[in-house]
Amino acid sequence: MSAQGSLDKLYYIDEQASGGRTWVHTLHPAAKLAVTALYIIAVTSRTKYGLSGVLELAVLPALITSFSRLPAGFLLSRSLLALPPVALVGVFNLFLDRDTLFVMGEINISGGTVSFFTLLLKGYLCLYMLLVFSVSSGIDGLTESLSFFRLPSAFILPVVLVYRYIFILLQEALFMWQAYSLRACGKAKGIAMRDWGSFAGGLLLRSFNHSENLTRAMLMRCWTGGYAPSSKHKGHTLRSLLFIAGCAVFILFCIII
Amino acid sequence: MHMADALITPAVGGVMLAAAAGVAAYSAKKATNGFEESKIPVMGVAGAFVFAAQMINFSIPGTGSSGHIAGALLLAILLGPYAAYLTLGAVLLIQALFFADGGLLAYGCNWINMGFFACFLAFPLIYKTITAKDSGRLRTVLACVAASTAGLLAGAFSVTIQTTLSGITELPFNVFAAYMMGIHLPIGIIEGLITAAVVLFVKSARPELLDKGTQGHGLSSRLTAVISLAAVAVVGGIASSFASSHPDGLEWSVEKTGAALEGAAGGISAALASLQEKLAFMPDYGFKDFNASLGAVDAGTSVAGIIGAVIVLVLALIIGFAVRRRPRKSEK
Repeated sequence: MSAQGSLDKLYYIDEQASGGRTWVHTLHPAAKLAVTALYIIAVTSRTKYGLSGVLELAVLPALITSFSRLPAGFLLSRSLLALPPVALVGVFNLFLDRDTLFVMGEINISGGTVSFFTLLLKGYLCLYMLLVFSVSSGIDGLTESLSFFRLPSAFILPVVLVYRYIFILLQEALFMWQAYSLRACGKAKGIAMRDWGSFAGGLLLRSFNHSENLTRAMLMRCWTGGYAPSSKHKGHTLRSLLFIAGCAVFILFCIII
Repeated sequence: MHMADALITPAVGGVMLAAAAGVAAYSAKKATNGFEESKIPVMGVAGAFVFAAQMINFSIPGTGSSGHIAGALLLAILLGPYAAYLTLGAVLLIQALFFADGGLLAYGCNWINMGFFACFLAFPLIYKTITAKDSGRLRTVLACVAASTAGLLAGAFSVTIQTTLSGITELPFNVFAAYMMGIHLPIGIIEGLITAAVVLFVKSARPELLDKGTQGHGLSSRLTAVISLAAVAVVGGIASSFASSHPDGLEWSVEKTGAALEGAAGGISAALASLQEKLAFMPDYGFKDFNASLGAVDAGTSVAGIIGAVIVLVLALIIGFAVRRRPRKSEK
């Protein structure tokens, strides 16, 4: 099961987000989310043969990673996850778009080749920038930015609870899997068909037990249905606005040139 | 089926995000009507369960591969469609930001593709219809498989439309659609079987958990009408332009036998053919002497598709009103 790997990565992201002390970490998360959205729109707006235009935009996430001292190796490797689904769709361009776009030395480069690699680079950069946001802001930053954009608490609170309970339920699933595979003397590669219902159903019943305990705990603490996100980013408004303005100017500069 | 940001343009992503947000706003209002505070913690933990359950590999006998659970359908069965849609939105957001699965621009697309069709079409129209009068084992399995497959195929078709509209791939629409639907058909069946296994287990252990999700959560007539009209607009207005120009089964068979399919010799057939030619104002699903196109979409075919669907709808309503049972005098 890949649950342990996923858990480890989540813990790592949590540590990075809560432990960061650079000026990027002090920015309001809504500003970082806005810049992330603007960047993704700029990248995906490039034409399908606009490889050089997309490359120019790669400078911005590199700069932010450097200033915020985020773990570049982790971000670079994690962003590779964007490539398979994009490649599965874009690979057909290599065979269907064979008109020569330009010649490099003696090699004819087809439009399909350029569009394929442009697509891969777009996918990579979009995911990279998204990860920069999540690693520098964490779940608290995400909920603070969702609250800033006036999303209802009926949406924000489940986001928080899903995130918090992923750790608990993934751990439960791992323990159940370990018990199951030990009973199969280590030969089980997955849950056998006869056990699908009882295994997943058992995990579901445990989840509902957790939800009942959680509900009672929240109600006993006088919870009335709302959600108040953390406000530790108050007081950095000017810095956040300058950050948005600076990134917007850079993106416009790349688009116009 | 998570789409990455690179697979769509900002225009398509923006429209889908607006659509997903609109449905979410409606769902938030419906989910909190007669508000029970206890529902939100259940939504959160159920979402985390879907996460954890999707990490489990369910071995498929005889294939050497594994499948995963259909999260959206199970959530709809447990929580009802509105709460399930919101919960799935939370799950997708966390998957995009922390698990590198999906994207921000594609968030709306993923939410519609994986949440809307399962929660608002497959669950009420297929699952609830099949299990309405009898929720025995066989019906539950059939309902889960049918609903899961339908929801997944609708989502896969929607992915094809969004990617084609974005002009990302050179693959023709019909080939891409066949490829996507072909891949997702067995996936939907397997996911449906796993979901059915879980539902049957929970039904035997704690049936009250399922009652919460399936009580009183049918779609309102107005919403059903809106969804149906939107589907007509998409299929009749856009997808019809990509219909195959190859002969259908009957035409192909007749061609192979060497017989002529059109051109009646004479008599009544000729008279009826002449009458049809005069009456048909949309011959071959287009308009006479009208040629226009919006990109790959043929305007004549689109308009003909939508008008045809509206005519069928009006006729169905007329017939429905005409045959509707009137209460007998003794029942009043």
